[in-house]
Amino acid sequence: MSFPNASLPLPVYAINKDLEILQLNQAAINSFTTGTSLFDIIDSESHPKLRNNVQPFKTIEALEINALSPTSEILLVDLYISWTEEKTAEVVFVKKDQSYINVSSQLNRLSNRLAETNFELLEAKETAETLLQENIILSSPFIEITENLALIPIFGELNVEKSATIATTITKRAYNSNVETIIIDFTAVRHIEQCGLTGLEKLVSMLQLLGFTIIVSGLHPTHVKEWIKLDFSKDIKFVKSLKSAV
Amino acid sequence: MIDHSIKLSKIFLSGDEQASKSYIEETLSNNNRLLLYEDLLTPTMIHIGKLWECNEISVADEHLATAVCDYVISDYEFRMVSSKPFNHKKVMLFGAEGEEHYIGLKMAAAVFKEFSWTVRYLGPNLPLQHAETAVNAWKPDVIAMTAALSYRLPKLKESVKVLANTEHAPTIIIGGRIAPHVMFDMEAAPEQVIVMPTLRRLHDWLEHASKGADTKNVVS
Repeated sequence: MSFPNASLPLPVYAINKDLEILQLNQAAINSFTTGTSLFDIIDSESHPKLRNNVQPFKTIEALEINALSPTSEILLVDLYISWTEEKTAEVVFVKKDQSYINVSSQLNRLSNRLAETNFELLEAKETAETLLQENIILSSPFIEITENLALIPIFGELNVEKSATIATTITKRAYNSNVETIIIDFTAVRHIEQCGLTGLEKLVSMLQLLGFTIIVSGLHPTHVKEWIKLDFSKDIKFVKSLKSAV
Repeated sequence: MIDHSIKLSKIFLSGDEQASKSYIEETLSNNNRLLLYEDLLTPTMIHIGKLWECNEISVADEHLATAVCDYVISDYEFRMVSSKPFNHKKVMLFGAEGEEHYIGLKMAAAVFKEFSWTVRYLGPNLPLQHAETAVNAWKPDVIAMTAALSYRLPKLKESVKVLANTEHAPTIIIGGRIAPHVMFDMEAAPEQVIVMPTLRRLHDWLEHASKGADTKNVVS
């Protein structure tokens, strides 16, 4: 059988009813991988689609399917099939518009970029959290001034998280030292949250239970307002400034 | 549920993410992640794949539906975000090299988060070399990999071989459409590989793990 469309710029195959390739033109050789059956040039994941749709003597217009290039890369194509009276068919492949593929890969790149940025943000967040934790620990040092006197100056804001972290480190330090009196200094505290103060209450009770005398110094009038809402001040000495406490 | 996924696939294909959200809210009786992911979204996406196979939709339509599904998952996870502290278990999830399907992977990441695991989701199509570097640097307890297409199998096996032999010897979970067709535990790294065909199985496995069972080979 001579091939009528040898010079057609689109890939064309002639097949029989078992989908075996009888002939192909130059454009087909250039565009797709080689094979004896139509199945050979279609991606294996697209075989069910080919099997279900291509039946003898059924004309097909635009069956979207993945074909394989000469280097076995996947190419999205539209398949057109028309049957002749000799029970053979001509199959034309039309590659999907390149601009569509460009847009699709561009979108993929953008979504990857977003995912990456998300990931970088996550890492930055983790670093920030570690730094914050470190900052909290550093913002309440336990300073032994004399044999039996220690000072805990608290810096920054006093919130739940901070008072919890402070409580753990301070209790350990105090327990391992020989001091009897602890001054907790609030001069460098800007703002106290009620719940942060509750955490501090636990710390103070714990220290008192361990036998320490607690002195609180450097309270600002706004701190006092928060403080008097709690009723745990009985066994604590309050002094105006650190100087008078010492 | 099948009727619902057919209806939902139509809404996905129309590209209307708000309508998708409202439909899901109407359909689901309770706010259960597995119900949404396994019983509604998964069959919906499978149905969309079938529509392509029947030549009723194009790849472009499929991409649109995937984007809407992705949005629905992100939105759900954003609203479900919990303030539970992370536990010390770490999982790294990614799609095998060349694999572009990622919806299942994203759902699996969410299930790990539900159990307070520290999660690194590295997305689809991660070159093996990069995966190896990430595993050595971050030392996850579990690596979860997926693939949908059968010809990713050799690459997936190679990945299992390489990653199972990294210093930390992580447990490797294989999911995705390919999962039921593979017998990984027989080969590359016996005792270290678990095939997880569904999210429910993953959920059960994590539940076991959270009750103190070892994360190695609870279900195999």
